[in-house]
Amino acid sequence: MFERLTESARQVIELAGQESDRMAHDYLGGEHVLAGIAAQGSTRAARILADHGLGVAVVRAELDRLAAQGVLPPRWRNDAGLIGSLGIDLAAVRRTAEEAFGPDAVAQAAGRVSRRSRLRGGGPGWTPLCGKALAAKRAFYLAAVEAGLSDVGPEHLLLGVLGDAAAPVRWTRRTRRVRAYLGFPSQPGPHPVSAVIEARGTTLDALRKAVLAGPPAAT
Amino acid sequence: MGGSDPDEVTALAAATRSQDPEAGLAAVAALRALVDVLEALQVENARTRGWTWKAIAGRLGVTKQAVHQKYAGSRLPWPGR
Repeated sequence: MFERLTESARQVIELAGQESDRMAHDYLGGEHVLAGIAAQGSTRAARILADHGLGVAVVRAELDRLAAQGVLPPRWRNDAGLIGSLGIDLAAVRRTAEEAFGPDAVAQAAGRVSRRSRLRGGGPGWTPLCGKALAAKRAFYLAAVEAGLSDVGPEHLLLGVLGDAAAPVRWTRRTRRVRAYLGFPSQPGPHPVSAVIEARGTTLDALRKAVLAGPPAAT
Repeated sequence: MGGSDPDEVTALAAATRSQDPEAGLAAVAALRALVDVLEALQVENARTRGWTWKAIAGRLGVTKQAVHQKYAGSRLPWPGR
């Protein structure tokens, strides 16, 4: 799904990654993508958000508030910080392992270990060598569906993020474990994206209608 | 990732020192998962170099059945098979 992004949408993903880094999160979620869209500023998707009171500063403030409330993982809750608190430098461990076995072998081993079947003793669901967890996968999928045959732009990403927040899926055992590992609350609450959007008095549906009302701009 | 920021590490170290189970347990879970990956890398490397399950298990301090159950067939096919 990443091959079909417009240049502008690629930039959104990059900004979303920076947003995740800013919050010291080990995952990339719809809430980061929402902030990424807002941070772009000049696109139609960003203007729609701004018109609904969701400028980038507002989105960031709301995300920080959610992290403080424990709806999103707090700043200290990330692998490098946790393992660092034990006196171990995660970056150094990763570097040593990659020098010995190669980056691909390390990534593959991390994937295999995290998904190890219960017959083999079960895996932790996630490991510190897995990289950023792609929690926004379903939002990207929905964005691709919205785009149909055209390339995925920021507006499609916004629709995907809204769609993912509007229809929560049943968590699998693995989803629950990964969420617990990343430091989310164990009880399902409102989707963080809904929480951000509704905090400013608008709704997922209103934003969706605003996006669909306009011209289907390619960027 | 952003977590390597010295301020945060210090803040977290303080949290661990103050015996906050939330941070302490999460740190242990992360470390265990890290050790799991390192173990997998070493076991798979040893198998590639022709080590027997028994020899690997001996170094890890577990039974050969335990290490076999955890790792047998978990890689791409060994060379020469």
